[in-house]
Amino acid sequence: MAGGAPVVEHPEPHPPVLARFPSVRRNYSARMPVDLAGPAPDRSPTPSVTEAMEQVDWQQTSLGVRRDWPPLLDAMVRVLVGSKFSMWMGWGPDLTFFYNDAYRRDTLGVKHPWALGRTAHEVWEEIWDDIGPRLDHVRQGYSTWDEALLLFLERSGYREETYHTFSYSPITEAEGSVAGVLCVVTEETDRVIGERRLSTLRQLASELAQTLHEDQVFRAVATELAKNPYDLPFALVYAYDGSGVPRLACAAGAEPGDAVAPVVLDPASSRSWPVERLVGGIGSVVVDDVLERFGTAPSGIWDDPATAAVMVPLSRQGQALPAGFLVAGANPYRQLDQDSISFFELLGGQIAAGLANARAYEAERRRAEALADLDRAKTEFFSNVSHEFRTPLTLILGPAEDALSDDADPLSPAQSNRVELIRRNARRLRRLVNDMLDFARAEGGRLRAETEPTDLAELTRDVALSFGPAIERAGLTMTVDCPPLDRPVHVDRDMWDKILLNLLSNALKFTLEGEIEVVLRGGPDAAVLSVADTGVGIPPDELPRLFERFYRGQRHQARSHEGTGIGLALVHQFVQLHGGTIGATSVEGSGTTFTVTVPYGTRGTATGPVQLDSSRQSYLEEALQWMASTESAAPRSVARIGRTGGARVLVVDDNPDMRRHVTRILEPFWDVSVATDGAAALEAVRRQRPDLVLTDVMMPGLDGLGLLDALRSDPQTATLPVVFLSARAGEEAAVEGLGAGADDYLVKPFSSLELLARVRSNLELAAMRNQESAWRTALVEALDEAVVVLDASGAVVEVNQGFERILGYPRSGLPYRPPFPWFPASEEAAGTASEMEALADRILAEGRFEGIIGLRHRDGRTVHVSAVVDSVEMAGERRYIAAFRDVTADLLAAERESALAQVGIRLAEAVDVNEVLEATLSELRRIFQTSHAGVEREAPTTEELGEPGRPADAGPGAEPGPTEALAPAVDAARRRRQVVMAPAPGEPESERAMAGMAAPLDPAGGAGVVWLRFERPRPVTADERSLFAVLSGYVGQALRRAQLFDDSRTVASAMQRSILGPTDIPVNVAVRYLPAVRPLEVGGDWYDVIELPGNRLGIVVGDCVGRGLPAATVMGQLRSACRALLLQAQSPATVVASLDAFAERIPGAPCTTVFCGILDRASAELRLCSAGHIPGVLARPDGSVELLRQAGSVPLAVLDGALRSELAVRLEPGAALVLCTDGLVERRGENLDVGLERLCQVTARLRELDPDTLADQVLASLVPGGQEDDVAMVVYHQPTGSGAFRASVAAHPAELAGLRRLLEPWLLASGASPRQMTDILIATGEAVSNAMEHGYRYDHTRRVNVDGHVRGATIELVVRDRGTWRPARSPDIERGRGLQIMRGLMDDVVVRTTEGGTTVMLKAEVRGAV
Amino acid sequence: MPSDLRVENRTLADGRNRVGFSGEVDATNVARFRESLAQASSSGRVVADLSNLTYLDSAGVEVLFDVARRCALAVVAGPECVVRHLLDVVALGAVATVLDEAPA
Repeated sequence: MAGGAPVVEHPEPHPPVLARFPSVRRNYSARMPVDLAGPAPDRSPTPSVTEAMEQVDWQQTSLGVRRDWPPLLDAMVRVLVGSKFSMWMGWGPDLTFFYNDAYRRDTLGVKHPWALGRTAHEVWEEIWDDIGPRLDHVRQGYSTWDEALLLFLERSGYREETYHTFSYSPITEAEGSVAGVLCVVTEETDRVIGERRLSTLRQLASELAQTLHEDQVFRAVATELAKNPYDLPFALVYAYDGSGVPRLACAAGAEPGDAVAPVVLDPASSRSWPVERLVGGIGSVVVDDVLERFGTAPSGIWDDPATAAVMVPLSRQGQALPAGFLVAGANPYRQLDQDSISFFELLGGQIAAGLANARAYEAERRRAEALADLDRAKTEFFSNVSHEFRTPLTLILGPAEDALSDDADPLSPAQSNRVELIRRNARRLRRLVNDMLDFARAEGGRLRAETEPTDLAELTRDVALSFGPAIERAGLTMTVDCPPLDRPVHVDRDMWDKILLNLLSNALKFTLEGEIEVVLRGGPDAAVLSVADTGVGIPPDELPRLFERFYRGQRHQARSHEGTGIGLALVHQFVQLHGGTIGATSVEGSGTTFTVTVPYGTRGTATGPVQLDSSRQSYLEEALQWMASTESAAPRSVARIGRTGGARVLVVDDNPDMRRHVTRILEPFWDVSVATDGAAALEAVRRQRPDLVLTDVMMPGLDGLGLLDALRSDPQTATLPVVFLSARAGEEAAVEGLGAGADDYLVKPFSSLELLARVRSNLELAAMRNQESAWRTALVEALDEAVVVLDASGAVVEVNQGFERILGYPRSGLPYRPPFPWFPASEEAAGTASEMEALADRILAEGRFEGIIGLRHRDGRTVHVSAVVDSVEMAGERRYIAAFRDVTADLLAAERESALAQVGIRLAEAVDVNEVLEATLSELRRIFQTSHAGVEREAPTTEELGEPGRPADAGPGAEPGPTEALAPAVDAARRRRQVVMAPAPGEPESERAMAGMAAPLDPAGGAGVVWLRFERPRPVTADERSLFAVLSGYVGQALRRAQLFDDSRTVASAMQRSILGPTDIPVNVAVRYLPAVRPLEVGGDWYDVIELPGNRLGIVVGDCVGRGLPAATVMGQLRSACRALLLQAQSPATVVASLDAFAERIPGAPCTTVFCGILDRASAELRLCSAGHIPGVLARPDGSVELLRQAGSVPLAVLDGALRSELAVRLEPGAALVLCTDGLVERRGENLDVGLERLCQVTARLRELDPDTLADQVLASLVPGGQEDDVAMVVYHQPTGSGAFRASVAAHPAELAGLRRLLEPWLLASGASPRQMTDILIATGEAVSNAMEHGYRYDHTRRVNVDGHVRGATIELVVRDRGTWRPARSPDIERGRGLQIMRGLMDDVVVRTTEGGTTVMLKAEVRGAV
Repeated sequence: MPSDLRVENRTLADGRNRVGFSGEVDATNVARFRESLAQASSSGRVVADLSNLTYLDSAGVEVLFDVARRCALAVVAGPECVVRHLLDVVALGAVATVLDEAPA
């Protein structure tokens, strides 16, 4: 309004609803000052503004009296009051309120005239939160604009929802200060509310238009009404249920069950909507005591709850009782005026309409359903009817035909005629029924043309020609003019048949003479068929009605007056189903032409096999009937049905007449049995399998389809031919039957001929199939190989004779399921069993296999087969076929070849008898898979060497020894010099189970027998027999060889021992020779101890190169040479040097090592020379030990002109000397010095023992477990001189001399004269001899101990033995003499004998050189 | 191995066989001792020269007695012979002639 202030939209967004105003209701009339009240609202009319202005005491206001008002104010007031547009103005700092009439009328309401002259704040206190800020803004010079602002005005005495569009603008003085505010305002409330309500109505209408069901309606109502919580704080729809009780159908703004929204309205309750008020009236009811009724009510979008609601009935067209009612809560901030009520009523109307629509739709739907049901019922009725009709028809037709065609018992002419009549009419009836059904279906729209591309010309010709005989008979001519069309026509063949046949039939019926012409032409879009006759024609007025159902023309002349009138109507239907047309032209008396046009079509609709052409036959026959009936009955086209063997047919039908009928038809040709239903049929089949089953489809209990299913699922009857007899015509029935697995399908009623033909052809087919199958079986059976068929689960379902033979499992055990009994059992060979299972799994998975596997025959033996397995898909199922050949013999033969070879090798390696036997028996055990095998030598004791596999705990219950069961066989083998079988006890001596067998070791000679016993008695093949014989021959030879070897080895050992063994070893010398443990050969080691002249002793130890006899030979020569040289030589060096020369000349002698020593007993000096030999060990009596390494040098004959030096060593009394070969000290992987050190230690430790014991202990210590190389050892113990004398000799006379040698120096050293020495020697010798002879009886393992002491001047010698002196048998002169000698030569002799031995004490006084 | 025994045969002037032994006679070679004497005493007379024997045991003494029973035995074992004492002890002189030195 004013000048420069820009119009600015109020910057704050306008909240669409929301003012949080305190709900204040003021009684404005009460507040008005009495003096300004003016006429009260209920009194005379309120004054106009102008009048009111006069009445205001302006003095009280901030403006003062009027005359003091500024000119601007005056001007503004004038403008204001004069305007017809609603305005108010606020002047001055407190915005003294001015307004005009328009404002008073529109907005101010009851506040006039009170408001005039008040401050704006006072006037509009309830909305000051809203307008206050705006006014402040204006006072700063801005203008405001608000459009349809929601303001809760209390201008009508209550808090009112109002919408105003207004502008505040500043009233500025000339200098620019704001003097006041001008407001121009339009109320928009009606518009806003109106629009809102309209919107709700529109939306609701729109939503309801889309609903179909009641609950959709209610949902839509609730949704849409909830969108307007302004006008509808809550809305409820109650619908009357079946018993007239109102139930809450939907609610908006409240939840079902809330106070205001009870789910069911109880008329008795006060907290309920007053439904009774609706009854009778057609209008809506206002309920304004909502809060009092319910205590609480929803408030929708507002702060305050609705206090009133309107109940609007939802009327139904044409119904007294409404469908329900709408309860609409009213906006608390609006007066519930007529507009509001109208709004609610409109809502109600829409809802009612929506419900009505939904119900109508529902009704419609139910009707449609009912119609569909009706339709279904009709179809079912027709099916049942057809069944009902057809069965009796069959039973009329059938017997009639049979009666007529019965050659054996023909009917009399009279009866024949009657029966002919029956037959003809039964035929007609059948056709009629068929046609009616077809027609009914066609009319019901359920008939469809199952078209397929057809050579229409051929089909037409075919049909026409089939009708030929009738036409001929009638004396008419037929012209068939059907040239091939250029393309196939999509027709339903059966329908085409019927069309043409009907037309021809009609033509024939109404043509008494002349011709019938069938013409087929191909038009541009359709094929055109015309059937023209020269008959009686059709009157023109009848032409239009020709194709009507049941219409029969009034034609006078016809061959027959039969006819239902359906024929042409049916033709018409059929043609229409092809999308074609049919028409007729006729000239009475001349003829009639029917024209059928059938479009070519594009796609065939036929789904199943083509319908049978029995209709042609019936049409023909019927036509033929029209001819002169004087003729004999129709030519009996009884085909000669040959017998198909003595085949068995099972007839299954619940109808006894049917059963009898069919049986009678079939009986002359086959064996017929019957069953009354599917279950009985199954029984019969199981009992005795028929060759064909002829069954009705519809039967109580197990019907035809069920029977078929049962038969097909049993492999025994899966291929049994089954033919259905069904009353259900139509392709779908045929398809279903054949699809289910029936071999053929016959529709009732059927002619006997048809039945016979069908049965025969099916039997023949089955027979052919069986023949094929029999041929295949014969082929498979004839094979030598085993053929096995397994099903998808891996179970064996088929085997041939070859299988039975190879594995021994009979066919009667089928099916065999895994795990198969012919797989190796797990306890036999766990590895193999699980291998087999894994193999089986793999075969099943991969479906292929080729290889050799080991199976187990039923009798337990292993059978090796070369198998091929393959898989094939048969009828959607996987099947495995395995074929295998027994290759056990081949395999075993190959095995045996290798076994023989292996045995040969092993035997060749075996060296001695034990090894040979061991090798042989273990091979035998392995080859014949038994753990019991042995060899019996000459002596009766059996050498059963080591039975591996025999249980360690073979107790008393264990099997008897081999000799028991096999003894006779062993004996026989020995005697007869051939392989003998030992039959198992209890078994007859046949090819069957053998307990074992025996064979002589050497057929040529020798009494040894090798036997073996099987784990379990089993048959022995000829191969095995001969193998055993061969093996035993090997064994014999090997034994002989081994024996020779043993002998030669014994000889070699004996020879070596003879070479080596001196028997006259002095008592202070011990010798040992140990041949190596293995290979038990003689070696090249030697020792020698020789008495040399001059009281010297030669000690030699040597080691030749190599082993065995060659080395022993060399050794012998060297030894002898050494001996000879020693006897002559004085020094060992000379000996060795000479040996060098000698060794050069003997092959194999060079590189021999030798240790040569000469001991001078008198001087106790040892001179030694070594040729590359192990140094001797000298242990001194003080415990020190040294290796005599010096004078070492090289082995013999190695170095030309090798210088041989020698070493002289003094042997103290008590010293011990050990000489040996390297076998004693050398150990594999060990430094030689270590061994020598060891020897030194031992010798030092044991030096005080006598030489023999020392020698034994040294051996025990150094080579405890035996040694690998030969060992030769010499131990020498230097006598201890005039100290104690100690010697122990073996109880052998040869030892005596050695003992003397030892005693001599001691005696001399002890002071005896040579003469006394001899005396003492003789006496001691006697004692020792006695001990040897009587104490030990020359058991040279026993020892006689001799101890000598010098006590003072007495020499004392004690001879001890531990033997048992036997009392002399005869007076022992010798003993007496011996004693005499002892007593004579010694000064004192004491003999003491105990059980532990004998001690002889000899004493002699020392007598010097006397 | 039998003890060392050397046997020497000679015919004396008077035709008697003289068997000279040197070495030792013990159980290991007494058979030979016997054999030699038996052979030499086939004529019924023998002279056994034991001068050089260093050892003679009861078995050997037995042989001497045996020979002495069957024929005329003269044994040569001088005072310096170490087995003379033994012969004295066994009183061989009772059955045979013990000579100090060998006859011609």
